Amino acid sequence: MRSEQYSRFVLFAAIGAVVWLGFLPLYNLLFSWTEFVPGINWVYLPHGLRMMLVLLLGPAGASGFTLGAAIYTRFSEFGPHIDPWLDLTLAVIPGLAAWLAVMLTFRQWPGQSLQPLVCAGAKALDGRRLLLLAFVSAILNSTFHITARHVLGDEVYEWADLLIAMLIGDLFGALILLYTLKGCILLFENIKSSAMHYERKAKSESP
Amino acid sequence: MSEKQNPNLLDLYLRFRWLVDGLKTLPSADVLSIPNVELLLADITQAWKSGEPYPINKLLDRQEIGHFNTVRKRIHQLKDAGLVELQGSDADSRVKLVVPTAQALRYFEEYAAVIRQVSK
Repeated sequence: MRSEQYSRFVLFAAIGAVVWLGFLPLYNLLFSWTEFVPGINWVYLPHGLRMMLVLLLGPAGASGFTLGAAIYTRFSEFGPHIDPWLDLTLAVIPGLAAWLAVMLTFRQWPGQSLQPLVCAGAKALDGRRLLLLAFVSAILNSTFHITARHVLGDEVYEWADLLIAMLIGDLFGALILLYTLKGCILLFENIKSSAMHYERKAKSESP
Repeated sequence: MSEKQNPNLLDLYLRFRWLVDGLKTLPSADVLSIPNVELLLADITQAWKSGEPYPINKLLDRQEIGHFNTVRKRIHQLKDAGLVELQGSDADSRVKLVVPTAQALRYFEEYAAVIRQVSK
């Protein structure tokens, strides 16, 4: 890896980690009521964030939120009680699952390489494919996560119960986040075009 | 004073724009199931049928249909659904006329056929 690419990887990974560490405490503060069992929620918005980080930043983004997740768990209330190997595995799985899901659903996307986007010739992102990505990554992430918890930890809950809760949480969390962002973008555009319309109208009406 | 551009930040911005454009294409509900959209389409079709299609500006200023932003959004939703298109006016190329497409006319034909069938 050339030093230029290395610094780009480090920068993107750092952005991924910072975004994750900024978003997760906020999510936990607002959505703690959606918790089913520790680590599994009925609505898990950060899953949508993971998808977006991998789409934008690729493996660097995945490494970033993996690092962020590992740091966050270490300093959370579960940190001292959780086995370090299980903690590391559970931090790596979402990055791996999101990366695999993007590989399966997209042929070409900006995060695929560390090359600048202008050279990548990336096509426009298709909204339907984004929904497919949410579904595929939710399946992969929940299956890998629950299996790891059963194999490496002493999980007391049923495998199927946890899988269903996590699948629903990841899928709905991603969908809610994606559509909320879409709503915000459209609202922002409406405000902007409304201001332009009234400005033009005022200009045309002025003598 | 010359400022050195940071290629990483430029690339990040372009990637972000790509994602924002993609988020806008997320599928929405059937456009005609949204309140007042069918009415707006009927209005556009009626004006076109009478030989005076609406210029987009005139349609946006019709407060009785809805707020400017709402009407603009609905017109774009109808356009994305392939039910209306924007055509340049013969008199003034800057004026865009909102006209129904063949798909919209087919929709109203089917609608009329159903009403005829029910009234028999």
